[in-house]
Amino acid sequence: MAHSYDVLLSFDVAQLSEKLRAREVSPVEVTEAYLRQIEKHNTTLRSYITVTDDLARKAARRTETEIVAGKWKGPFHGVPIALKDLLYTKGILTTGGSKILGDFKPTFDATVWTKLKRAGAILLGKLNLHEFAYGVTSSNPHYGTCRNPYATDRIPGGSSGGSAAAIVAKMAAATIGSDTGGSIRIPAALCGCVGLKPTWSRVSRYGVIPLAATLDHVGPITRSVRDAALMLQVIAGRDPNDSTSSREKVPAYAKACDGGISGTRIGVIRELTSELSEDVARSFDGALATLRSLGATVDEVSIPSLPLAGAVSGIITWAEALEYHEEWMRTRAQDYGEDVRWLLEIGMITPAATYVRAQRARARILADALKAHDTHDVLVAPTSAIVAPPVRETSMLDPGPLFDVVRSILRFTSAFDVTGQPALAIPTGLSPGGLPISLQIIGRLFDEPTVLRVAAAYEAARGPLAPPTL
Amino acid sequence: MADLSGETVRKILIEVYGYDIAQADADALARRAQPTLEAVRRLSTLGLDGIEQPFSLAVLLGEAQRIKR
Repeated sequence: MAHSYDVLLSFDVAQLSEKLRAREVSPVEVTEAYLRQIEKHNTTLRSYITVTDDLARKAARRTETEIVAGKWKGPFHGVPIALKDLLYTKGILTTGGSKILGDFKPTFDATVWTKLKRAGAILLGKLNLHEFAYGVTSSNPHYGTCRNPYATDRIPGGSSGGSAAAIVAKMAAATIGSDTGGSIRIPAALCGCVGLKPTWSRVSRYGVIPLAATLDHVGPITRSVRDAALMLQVIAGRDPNDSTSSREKVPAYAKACDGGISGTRIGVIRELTSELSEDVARSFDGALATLRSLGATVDEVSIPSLPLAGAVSGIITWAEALEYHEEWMRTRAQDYGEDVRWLLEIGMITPAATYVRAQRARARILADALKAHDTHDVLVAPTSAIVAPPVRETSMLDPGPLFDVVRSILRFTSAFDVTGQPALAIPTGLSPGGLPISLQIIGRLFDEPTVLRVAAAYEAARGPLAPPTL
Repeated sequence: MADLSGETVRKILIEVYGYDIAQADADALARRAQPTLEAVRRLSTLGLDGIEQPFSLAVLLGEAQRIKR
């Protein structure tokens, strides 16, 4: 039975997967629907840098044959996805959102893409981002300003802006992002979808262009919590090509989404409840009330060292990013966008001793967070103090409103890159102006199951989010 | 912490990296970096004495074995 494009695009991964497996839907027709949607909206939203339409169609035909033959590989078999253009894809343009890598085609795949490909996923293309993932606006000077599907005069957040915008605009069933200071959770929050930054080392970083190696995480951006669980299931685990990847056992993430949260102890992080916009504060309070109504206990908890996490994150990122970019800064500085070049220049004046001190301070901040977890199963905070701000032509380094905005956004997310804890962003609703607002749920190291359980319970109680009008 | 001046910034960039920028840009860099550098100095108030640098022999060995292949 042929389905309309709208129907095909309406399924999340969990639903689509069931229909593909039952052969009610064909991977070929689903892929065509997504390619049509990309063609329709990408000029405005600039979510994609590269659309791999021919490869996608070929993969769709192959997966159809496999599924018809009864060789179903799992929930991502025949599901069209897209990757942040920071992940290596063999023979496919991988720009990092930069001019410097403008014609770079890797000779191997990132492990995350290898795993997704093995699971039968179909690659629709490579997604726009803040240049080299070094910023939170996704206003890319080389590949166009990525825009928020809920209001195209506003930023989608970043750096994985294309990944989140593509999810909300139904230009992919699921996407991959990366997060060094908040780059999965911020765009998920500003665009109105789910973003999961797993525990550091849970997902291989092999074949992912680094920003700051000791803070970089790779994770899913999806329409639902269950989809994030399904995608994490595919990409998590030890990778011999990434010595920092964890040997910790990979649990059944999707199963974790089924439990209730009665009796779950939730701590509201005191240090992250100030300076919220009125809309965000109201929505956050509403989310806490919902969690209480589900039987969770919700009270305040403190992470005293958390206010210094921003400086720790800043110093480490400045130093580690420069180490990767130093040679290009010497030879091709003019090829960087102004804001990224400026951040790399700051890296040049970052004293080595401050870098080491910042690394040592991570243990203190994590210790404080673990203490909070002695009495609480998960911690919560807003993902951002504000809704998506307008796109501005001025760069984010200029003193003024946008610079303050950037700082106020990062304040809520970067601490959990510093500690390495899993953190998930989930929409709590829309502001009166129609822009998404988000709750952040933070867990103990490697306790993604509890984070997913709380998020799934909240999501079910919240109900569906009104989609954007495109 | 003494104020980081634009002159110092420019000198470091030129002498350490062979990388020159306009004096106005160097001044702006100094102004913007100063608060974070000061904040990192305040990290000592967290009581970092006795906290080791994060270092993993497993990663060191793993990388050595990987690149040896």
